[in-house]
Amino acid sequence: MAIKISHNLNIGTEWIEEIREQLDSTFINENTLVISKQFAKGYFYFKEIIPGLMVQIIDFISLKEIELTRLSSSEEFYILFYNVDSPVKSNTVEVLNDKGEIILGSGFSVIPNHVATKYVSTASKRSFFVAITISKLLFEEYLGDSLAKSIKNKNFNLKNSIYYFNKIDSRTMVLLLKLKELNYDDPNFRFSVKGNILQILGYSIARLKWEDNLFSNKLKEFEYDQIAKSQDYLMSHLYESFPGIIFLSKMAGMNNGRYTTSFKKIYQYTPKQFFLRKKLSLANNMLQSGGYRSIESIAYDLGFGSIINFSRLYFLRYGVLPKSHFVKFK
Amino acid sequence: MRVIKHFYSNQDKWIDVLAEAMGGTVNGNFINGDNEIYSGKHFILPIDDNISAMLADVTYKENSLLEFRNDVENFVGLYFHITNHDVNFILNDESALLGVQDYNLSIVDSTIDIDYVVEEGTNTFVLCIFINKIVLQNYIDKVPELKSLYKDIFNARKNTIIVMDRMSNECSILINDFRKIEYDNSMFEFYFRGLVYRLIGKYLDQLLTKKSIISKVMGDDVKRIIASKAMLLGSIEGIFPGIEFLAEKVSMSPSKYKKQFTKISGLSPGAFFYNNKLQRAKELLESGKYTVSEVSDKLNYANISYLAKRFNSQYGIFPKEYQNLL
Repeated sequence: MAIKISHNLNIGTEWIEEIREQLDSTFINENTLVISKQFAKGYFYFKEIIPGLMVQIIDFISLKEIELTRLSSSEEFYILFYNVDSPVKSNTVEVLNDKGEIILGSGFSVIPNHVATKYVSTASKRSFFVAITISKLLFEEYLGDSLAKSIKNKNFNLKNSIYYFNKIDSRTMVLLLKLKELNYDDPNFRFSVKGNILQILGYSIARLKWEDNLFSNKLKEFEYDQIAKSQDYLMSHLYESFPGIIFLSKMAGMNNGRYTTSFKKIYQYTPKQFFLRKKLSLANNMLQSGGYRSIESIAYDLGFGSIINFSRLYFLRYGVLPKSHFVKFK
Repeated sequence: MRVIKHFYSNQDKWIDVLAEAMGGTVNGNFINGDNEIYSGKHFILPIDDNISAMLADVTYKENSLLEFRNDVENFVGLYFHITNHDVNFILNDESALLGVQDYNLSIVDSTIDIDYVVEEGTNTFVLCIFINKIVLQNYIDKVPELKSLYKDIFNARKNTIIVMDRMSNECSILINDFRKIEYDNSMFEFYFRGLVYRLIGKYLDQLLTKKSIISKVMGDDVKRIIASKAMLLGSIEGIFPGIEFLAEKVSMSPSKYKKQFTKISGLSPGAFFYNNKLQRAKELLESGKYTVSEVSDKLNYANISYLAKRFNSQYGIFPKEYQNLL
């Protein structure tokens, strides 16, 4: 079973205590928390760079899957989130909103305080990400008018939850990879982190500012809306079988190829993979809910056709057979 | 000769003192000036409680003597110089050259009075970082390898610090990258702050590798190596000329040349050359004017896949990817 951690976040350091307790970690200095070996090998680094601006660097290899859920907060800030995993085999980040989950793969995203996120690490794979928490006031001061303009233009508006999501640009990528090579006990870790983070933030702000229309050359805004609509459709038809690319692309008014590539650009998976993942995560919830008498009934409810096929797919996704997650209805 | 007298202290007031001494006008954190003495900009920024920094990008219009006097004793100045002419650095009546082919990094205790003699037409780009001694001291205390260096850095008898050095290749790359940023960029302060931290980090790295610390008096060998480095940088688009050729150019034996080069630069001649070549490749890609294969041809790489391999091992990303993500 995955280890589930949930914590708050603010521009300060109180929240780190919640992580310390749940992961049984120890502070080795005022900025570094080393995770207990029973869960993972690695650390959390958090540091105020300037007032209103905090950085977190999280770097660990977990023994089991770890789900790190950040709860929604009422303090006003933005999180600039950088996930440098390779797009093919990344640990996932899920943005939780009322319409379901949006999966973000590797990339750079801007997430507002009120949207909760869940980071899922893969067992025995290195998790490395950098998050910059910046107060709303400061962020808006740096972005000036362009923030208001962008929100108006809906560039920042992925279903009202994420304000921005795109690939990490190359200059930033090089700096992040440099950070990835560092270790918290390097003597000049502190200076390198501060310097690189400020540089990265400079690039990111410049990018948000000047990239007036994010999707203009890659994905037109209305196309984005169309794809989001078809994703909505998929999410609300999880109990049925996959409707097919032809159906979906017709719904979005695009040709099959463009639809599939655009979908993948936004949601990291092809429509079919996405649908299957969501189906299986729903199956996972159903198995543990204790509301079903048999695994068969779940498999049939979800339109898997046969229990053998269901078990196989479930095993591929979670590494265990459904029966080990199953809680029987009493 | 024009005498300009001013003092630094790690407090806000030096912006006014400096502006008055230079005859410039204060505008936020900038001092803009264009008078009979000089034209250019100064930028001053307190970085945190213990660190502040100044940038001077200035062209002198007449021969000048700059006198720096300090009224505080608790900090050390790290000066990174990039100039087109040599600058005479006078300290306790001993003179040293700061310039293109000489020292370009000095670490000076705030208790020491320094004078600079600057020739007419000299363009200087100087980055000064003022660090409270406590910060340096704490840092040195934490790293056992530095204990032995302590004596070299802190002159125990006088309890002062003075080191003349060459900045590492990484530092000059950082500064050159920084110089591409316009002064009116709204994120200028951010980049500047970032640069200061990174330079401190790199300098401390340099201290740790220890290779590039040069004794106070600069020998002929050192000057020759520096000249040789400048030559290498001048022909960065060509192929590596070979140790023997380079050694002959500066009348040294190949083995001595290689040894000295490595000692002074912290990198072997080949590594120095190829690192700078890759940096050049990166810049060409950033310019957006060339394809990867054009860059590979322009820089005389044997083939595109070799460039890709080297680029990836240096920056962790392939050139094509780098260009796509720009």
